[in-house]
Amino acid sequence: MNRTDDVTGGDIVSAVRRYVRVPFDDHSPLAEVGLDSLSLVRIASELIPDPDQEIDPTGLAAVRTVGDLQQWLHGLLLPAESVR
Amino acid sequence: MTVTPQLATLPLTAAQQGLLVVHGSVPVPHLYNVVAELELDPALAPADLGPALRAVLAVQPALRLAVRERPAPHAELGTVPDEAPLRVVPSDADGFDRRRAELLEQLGGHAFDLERPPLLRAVLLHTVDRSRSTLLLVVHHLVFDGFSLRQFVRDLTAAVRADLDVDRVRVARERALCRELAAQLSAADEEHVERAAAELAERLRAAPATVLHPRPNRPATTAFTGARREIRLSPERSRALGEVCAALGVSPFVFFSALYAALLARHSGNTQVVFGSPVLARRTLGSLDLCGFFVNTLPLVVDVDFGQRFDAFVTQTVRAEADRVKSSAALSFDRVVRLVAPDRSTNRNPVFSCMLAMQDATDAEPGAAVRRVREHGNGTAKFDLWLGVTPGPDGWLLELEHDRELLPEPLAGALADSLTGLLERAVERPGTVLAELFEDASSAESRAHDGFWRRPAHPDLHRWVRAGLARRPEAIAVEEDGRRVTYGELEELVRCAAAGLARRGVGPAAVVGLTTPTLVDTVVAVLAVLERRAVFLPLDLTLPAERLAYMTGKAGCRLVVGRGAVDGARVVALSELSAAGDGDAPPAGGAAAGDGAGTVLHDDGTVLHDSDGASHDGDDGTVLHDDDGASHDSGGGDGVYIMFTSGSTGRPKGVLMGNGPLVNLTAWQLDALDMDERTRFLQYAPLGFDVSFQEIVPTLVAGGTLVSREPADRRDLPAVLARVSALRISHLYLPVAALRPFTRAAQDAGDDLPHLRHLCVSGEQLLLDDGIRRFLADRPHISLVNLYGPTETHAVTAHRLTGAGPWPDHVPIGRPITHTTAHVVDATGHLAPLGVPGELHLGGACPAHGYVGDPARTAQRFLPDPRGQGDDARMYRTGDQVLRDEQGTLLFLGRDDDQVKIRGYRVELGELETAAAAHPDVRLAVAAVLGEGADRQLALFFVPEDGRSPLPDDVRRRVAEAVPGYMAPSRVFEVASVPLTRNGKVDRPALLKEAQKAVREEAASGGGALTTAKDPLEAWLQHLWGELLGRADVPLDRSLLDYGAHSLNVMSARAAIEERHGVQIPVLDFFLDPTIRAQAAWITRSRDGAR
Repeated sequence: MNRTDDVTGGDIVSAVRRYVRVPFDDHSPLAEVGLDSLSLVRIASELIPDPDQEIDPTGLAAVRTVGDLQQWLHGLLLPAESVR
Repeated sequence: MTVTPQLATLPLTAAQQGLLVVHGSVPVPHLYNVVAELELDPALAPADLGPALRAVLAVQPALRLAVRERPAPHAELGTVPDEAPLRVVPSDADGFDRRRAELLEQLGGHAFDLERPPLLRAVLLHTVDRSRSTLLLVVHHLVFDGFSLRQFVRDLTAAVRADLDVDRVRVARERALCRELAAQLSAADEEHVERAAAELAERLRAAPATVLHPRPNRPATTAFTGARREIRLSPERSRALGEVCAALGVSPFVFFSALYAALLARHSGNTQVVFGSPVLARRTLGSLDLCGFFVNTLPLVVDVDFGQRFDAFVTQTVRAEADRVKSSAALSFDRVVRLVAPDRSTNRNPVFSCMLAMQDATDAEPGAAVRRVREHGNGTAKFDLWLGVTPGPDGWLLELEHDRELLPEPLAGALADSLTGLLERAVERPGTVLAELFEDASSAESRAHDGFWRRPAHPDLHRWVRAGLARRPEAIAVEEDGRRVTYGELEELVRCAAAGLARRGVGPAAVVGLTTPTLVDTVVAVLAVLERRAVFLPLDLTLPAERLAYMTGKAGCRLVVGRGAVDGARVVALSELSAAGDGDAPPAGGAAAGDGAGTVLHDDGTVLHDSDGASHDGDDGTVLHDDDGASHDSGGGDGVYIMFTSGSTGRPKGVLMGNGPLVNLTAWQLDALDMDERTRFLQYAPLGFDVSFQEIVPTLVAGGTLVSREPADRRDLPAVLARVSALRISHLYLPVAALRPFTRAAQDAGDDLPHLRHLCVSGEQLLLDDGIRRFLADRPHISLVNLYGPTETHAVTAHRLTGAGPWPDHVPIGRPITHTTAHVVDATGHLAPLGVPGELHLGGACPAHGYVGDPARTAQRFLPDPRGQGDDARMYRTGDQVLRDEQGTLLFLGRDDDQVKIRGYRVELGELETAAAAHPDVRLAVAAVLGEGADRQLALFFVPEDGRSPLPDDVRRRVAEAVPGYMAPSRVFEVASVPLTRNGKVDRPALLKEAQKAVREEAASGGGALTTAKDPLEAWLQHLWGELLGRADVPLDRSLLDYGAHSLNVMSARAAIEERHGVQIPVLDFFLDPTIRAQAAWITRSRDGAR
């Protein structure tokens, strides 16, 4: 499945919006907008229908801002082949 | 229903295997029960819940797992049970809460058979009138982590609504479980995980153990009984906390980690703390729908600098550590433990004993069958201290769970108080330095003295003594061999001597050295100096001349009464001094030019040379106020004695002690030791030790009799005993080191000492052994009084052991004596709460004036007491570490500067020595620390009893059984004798030098190489361990931990041993002595016992 065909940048922003109730931009720290690591995994789970998709905790720990989050989600959505 | 064949057997994750090991090694089968309560819509028909719960079991494969240890640890997925493990209990409305509590207790104590799924039990409790309904659950932690509860509730809600496609979801979830396990196992093998484990292990090895309530003889094993208390944050405080987190850019986990680290640092007395926190280790997105045990508990190592601002601490120190932990989520704790190789001889958690758990909020959906969810404790404690933090709709809930044996209730309360205060201040003022986030514990403890006190006849010591001498002129005051002196005679002798001193210009504050040879002479000279309100300076003629000259020079002493020669001072015999009309008449004004007594001391201890002393004359000395006992020095003439402390470094210091503290001590002692005309006190201590004051002066003001020790030698305790017995001594004061030989002599002689009432000891930590206990148990009329106090304050605290006990190994130093205060000041600079170590500061009626001729050192150690009564209150910083136990009793922990720590644990060498000396073939034992830094290990040297030759291994084993694992000596050496230093102390450096030589020789000769077993059982064990450890060089009598044994392969070894020999070695016993030889002995004993 080519997941990038199904999920757009707009979908990512919408998913983030469902979890964040305050104004934010790419530079907003996650702590400021109230997102913890569990929320990040849940957002990923909403966007990615593949239950086998793995999350690397090292990458997750490096996510500090909403911009980082969007990039991280984009990374997850890339076809597995392209990151090998 | 059938189970998909490929799902029948599943691997356990490393975290599950680790938990399984712990589960098997603790005596509490319900320790790892997760207890939860789901408050239900009462309208839900009880009959509907069973099928709903069964549906949840169908779609949650983890809840159908059986966990088996043999042949290798694994799990088996079972079928969906025909009926859910649910009991329905109706109740009337009034009895609902009581029934609920009973059921929670029952469920919490349920012991699961891990091989018989489901590892879940449920009770539906509802009122008959359908007004209340609640589902109580217990699940074993092996299949259920904190995150699982949310998914459980979600599935149950869907099942109740008939909204769960069981067949479809079941297949998907079983597949998801397989995928998740595969992902976890594969991630655990990644190279960066191994690297992270090695790095973390290195930091942990260097970190001190975070030990709360670090008292001596802290239990090494507990029964894991626990209690929980809640701290609820108001919505406003919770909101403010969220704002602080947002402003600092940190998550609540980082914020609470910072609070917890600071809390643990204060209460453990460490500046680096280690605590664990469960980290979500789920790797696949599909696993988010699963119940299961998918967490790794990882340690955070946090440096706590109490001078750092809280906001900087959070954003710099703690955030970095939290990030490191999160990024190591794939790292199993067991792998870290393997690399750290911590002490495993206790049943406490290895590596860390405190935990912070961020709990997941389980919000109820509006209108759903489950209205409210919460977890409960089950009366156990897995950790010494556990802090659970849960967000809720009304604010944060903090729960503190503590082990009740290690942290008795008052200490747990103190931790909760510290945490509450810390949290409030951190939220209000995050820019505050860490130390200021804490506050003083109650100062009432500092002043909680023992209450003994008898009103002095006069507030000035010399007048009180004078009154004492005059009261019973015919009674015997002093007895020595061949001579008895009545009070009347003593009074006359003192009057003559005082007149002689006056003729030599000795007046208030002049310093007079004493080298008097006999007890009577000494008493006369002391009292004469006291009468002149001068200051006596004991001089021991066996000291080197240079040292005596230093002492007299420092103290400004030019006149000595007694015998011998002292450089720089004139020595006058007492008889010469007392002779009427001797030739040394004083010039007008008091000071005799050219005689030596012309030096006086200023009240701050400064030596004033050649003053005429006029401004100090008269009766303007100390006045002791009866109401508070505090001394108010109104002049410089109230110094009583100068005693030189030996001083571990540098030159000795002369302590000038004043009237007020000594009057108070005397008033306390008369009452505390029940002293009166019948008192017969043996004068044992050399005059140069302040204990001699406690023997002489209180006895004479009480009208008792002071009895000379001589001709018995001070070191010949059987001779001392004979004198105590023959002379019907009622009071005896010994150094701690003399107690054991004294009691042994009494036992050997079968002497009940019927006249002895009070046996006092001081000087070092008192450790009781069975011999001393027997002595006391056989003589219930004797009280053992353990006194503590540096020369700078005299005795300030006391602890009394009477009757049938209790007789603790490590005897407390007790409580302050009346009118003195004992502040325990912790690392934050505040009064320490109960159980918290800190430096002892002594105030009230006890600090001396200071060090003579050394204002700089005086200013360093004698300080204004900010918590004292009155502006002029002073205190002395002892440099001694102590803590108060749950009863408020002080326990001595050691000097600030010479504490022995092994792998972060405080070690008391005396405890090892006592344990070794309990071996019937050991006469004397000395412990010492071999090596430096992380290589430090404990060495034990023993001298065998005559004609005996115990094996060092036997001695080591005996000690290992008696002390915590970290205190077991690594090396044990037999020695012919114990070398002593010149001043009679054990020469540990000399012993260590020999030990190092022996270790080097052993290494050079290939010592420690493989010993091949001859015994078939040992040979079999050697082969087994060789296989498990993948090496052929496993010796019989070395610790297997040094060769790579860890909890998982220990589990395999235990299984193999059980299969072959039918006995199971308890995990704790294995770690207590992890050698092949010990295992062989255990197996043999067990098999023999079974026959």
